Amino acid sequence: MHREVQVDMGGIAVSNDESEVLTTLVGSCVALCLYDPYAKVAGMAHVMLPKSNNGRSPNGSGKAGKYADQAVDNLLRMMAEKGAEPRRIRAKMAGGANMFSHEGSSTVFNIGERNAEELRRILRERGIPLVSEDIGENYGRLTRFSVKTGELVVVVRNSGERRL
Amino acid sequence: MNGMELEKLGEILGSYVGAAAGSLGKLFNEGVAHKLHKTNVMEFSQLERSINAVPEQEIVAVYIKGEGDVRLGILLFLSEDNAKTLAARLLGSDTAEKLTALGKSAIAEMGNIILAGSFLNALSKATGFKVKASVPGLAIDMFRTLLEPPTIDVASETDQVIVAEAELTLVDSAISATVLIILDPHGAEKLLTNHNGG
Repeated sequence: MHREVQVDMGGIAVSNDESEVLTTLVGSCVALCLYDPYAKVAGMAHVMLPKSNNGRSPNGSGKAGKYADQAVDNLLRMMAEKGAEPRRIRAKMAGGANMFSHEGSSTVFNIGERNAEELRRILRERGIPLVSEDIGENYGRLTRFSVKTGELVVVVRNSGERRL
Repeated sequence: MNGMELEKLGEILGSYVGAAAGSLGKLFNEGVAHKLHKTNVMEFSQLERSINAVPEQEIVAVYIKGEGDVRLGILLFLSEDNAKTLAARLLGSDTAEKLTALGKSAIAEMGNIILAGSFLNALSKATGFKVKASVPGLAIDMFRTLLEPPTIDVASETDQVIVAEAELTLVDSAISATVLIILDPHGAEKLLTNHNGG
């Protein structure tokens, strides 16, 4: 029996309890999932925006997963505290949708793709392989990330499950 | 923002919701009851728990972002069945079996009329603020995923948001829709200071 750990908007969860599944719902936000398969440490961040405050606030956010740059570093630090080795960590991600039609009129309507692009860039910079992703389109995704297996299950309305 | 200020802000937003209710009534030639629930300040991550909707619940939503002297996100949402019925009425059709592309466009335009045309217009008249409305976006998906765009827009530089939830009900046909107004604390203070009752 699994225990679901809900990750809130802008939040983070890290676990090495193999009975746990980290879960969140994403639209234009991205569920970033990192995994150390040897130590079986998993982390999930619900990333809302590409950068921390565009420099306007020196304190950034109290929400550890809100901004892509802070989310990756916070996940790596929290996973290391539970025994993960950065060189073994692999990434998967899902979300980044364009939720409302009539796109192109405002930056909000392509924030999803910008979130995903920024995460790809940061992961590359940190040397973390992005092994699979399910990004874009115009629908929400329910994501479940298993601490035991590192499998990311993505459930989409009217079209079933995808396993990453 | 203290309790009294939030209460006052609720009254102000309620008056703009009243204008939106009036135009919804004209659109359907029917009386519209409106009720603004409590106005709250909270961390954006608490939003989904504070609103009277199930996160995985499928909804039809129209989103309009207001930008200018004040920034706010306004989400109008209703059940798919109610959206089908309203779309059919707007299009002069008897059947409401499926929400077609034309039906979706009609719902988006309804949102545009009551949110941009009435709500934001009432706000501008009462404050003198210039607020530019985005093109209305329409989506059908899980409530929680449709809450993200307005949250991202308003909470890009703050973790605190002000949220007001209102219900509009077409009295004769008993069809309800929810209007969610999200703004940042700075914008809320500006509204309080500048609202003059229009």
